Amino acid sequence: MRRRGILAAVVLVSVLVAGNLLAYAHNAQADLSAAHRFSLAPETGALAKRVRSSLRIIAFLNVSGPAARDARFLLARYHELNRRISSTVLDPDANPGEARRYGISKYSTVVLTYRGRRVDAPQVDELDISTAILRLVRGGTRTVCVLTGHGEPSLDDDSPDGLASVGQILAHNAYQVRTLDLTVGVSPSVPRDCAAVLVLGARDPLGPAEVATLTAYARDAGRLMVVASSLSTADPNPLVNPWGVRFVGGLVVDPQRSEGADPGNVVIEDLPSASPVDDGVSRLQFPAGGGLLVDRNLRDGLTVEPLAVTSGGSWVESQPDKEIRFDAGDIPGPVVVATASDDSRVEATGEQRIPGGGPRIVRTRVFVTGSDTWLTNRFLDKLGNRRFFVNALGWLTQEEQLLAKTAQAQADDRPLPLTAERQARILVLTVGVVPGLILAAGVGARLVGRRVRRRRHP
Amino acid sequence: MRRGGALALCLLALTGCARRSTSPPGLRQLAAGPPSIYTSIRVSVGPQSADVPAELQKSLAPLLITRRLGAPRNPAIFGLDRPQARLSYAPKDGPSFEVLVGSLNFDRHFLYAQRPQANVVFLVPADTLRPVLALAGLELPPPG
Repeated sequence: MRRRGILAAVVLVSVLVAGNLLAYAHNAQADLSAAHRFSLAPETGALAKRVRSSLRIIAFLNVSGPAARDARFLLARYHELNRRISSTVLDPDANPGEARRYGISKYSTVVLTYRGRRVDAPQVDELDISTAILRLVRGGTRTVCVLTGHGEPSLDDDSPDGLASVGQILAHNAYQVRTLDLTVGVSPSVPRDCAAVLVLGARDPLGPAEVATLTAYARDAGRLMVVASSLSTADPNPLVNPWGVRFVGGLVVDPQRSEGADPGNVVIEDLPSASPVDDGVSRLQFPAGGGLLVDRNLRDGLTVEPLAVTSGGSWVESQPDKEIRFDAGDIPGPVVVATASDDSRVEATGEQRIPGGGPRIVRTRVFVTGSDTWLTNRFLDKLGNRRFFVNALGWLTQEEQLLAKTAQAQADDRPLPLTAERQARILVLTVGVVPGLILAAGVGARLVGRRVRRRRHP
Repeated sequence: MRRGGALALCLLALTGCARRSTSPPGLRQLAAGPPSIYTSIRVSVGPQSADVPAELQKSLAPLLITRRLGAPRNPAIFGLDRPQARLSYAPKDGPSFEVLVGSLNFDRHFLYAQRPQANVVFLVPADTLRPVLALAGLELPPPG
């Protein structure tokens, strides 16, 4: 008996020692907060994996303030994602030599160095740090060209109808924005360093020469984003038709899936494509949009993917100014509102990466939406719109990982809009299914009880 | 009842300690005020020196500090090994004393300052000292 007691004590101590040794060697934690507020976004995780050699982060902060505590917490998360990422929080007042050496002139400046390159982040938050890491890992800044000259909303406009939020996304993903005005000059062309050309809500028609220039650019392995608008006189068809897409205009109406009393404020719930543009996007809000038609069999090598589709109860209203009612002339749903065209073909010559040249693969990518309102400051943060734009941008420019927002910001997302379809579902669930289940359980219990009683007292 | 009294005493003692640790006497100022307690305040930059006029003495007495940086391992990094200016205070009662003025901080909003032999460095607002140092010919560059 005594031996058994000693044995049990030895086993207990051994288990405790082994447990402590294991705990000492391994760190683990669980973030049980809503939407994982204290964890980094999955995009940041994927980005951190791309860091292949030592990346040093120095945050210059007043070390006695709460900002330094938050910075240490945040930077430790990066180190957990990749041990090659190390960080220090330095007080520029207490370390004036270091501050001078790095040319620091403001508190909260963050200096990141990687493979001899340096990028500064304006403040210690996840989006800014990750953007800086993206710049370092990419090794340079890419340029996107934004077409102007046709009344397009401005990337500097922070009014509800402006595109300042799109401008911020581009900046956070280390894209340099260059405006492209093809209406001026003798023979304007798309600069060679444009990773993509964005046509964001042109209000006035593009001239034939502009269309020819953009089409020629797209055919030569170009990347085009055409965000069309029904609220304009511009016809995007000459631009998008060669890529199996036709803009039919009108107003896409979906009474079952729309927010509020406006049936044109459409909530998209069908994102049927396996394209990376739809990754992580479960719903979109596409107000005041026109419809798209897809021609999948235009030619070999061209694949056209419908990315976002309205419900079966929707239609394209051809005369939205007169009435919102499905009748002759309207196009029945489901209606495609966003597409991705990928055209790959082989040309006999032109390969420059191998000595002596040879055949080259030319790959054109075109992303089209029938609405431009979803991109405005008012709607970009609705549902999955932001992620959809970032995915489209990443797909066009073939970037592995772009940043949409941080886990912290995702936690602040508002709830889903109450569409007629969701209202009906909630009604059926609360008035029909739940009471029905309770009733069924009660009836079942009573029947079982009666059967048991009959068996006991036949 | 006795236990409650003891608890209250403990709490009182704790709050007293907390109060002492957050704001020890003299932490917020390098030189006490008001100007009327001094017979003169002088500023010297190298060989040049000047009496600080009464209207500027208000910013020097009391000479308020913004941050306490603690004991420096190397005062040279703050420019305090060869201070660019000295403020000499001559109180009506008691011995006179000096405040050494070092270099500007990284964003040029503050100056490092120290009492001689005291092993603590403080930051004082540069705007406070700018007109005073100008009296002795030292023009500080504006914030970057």
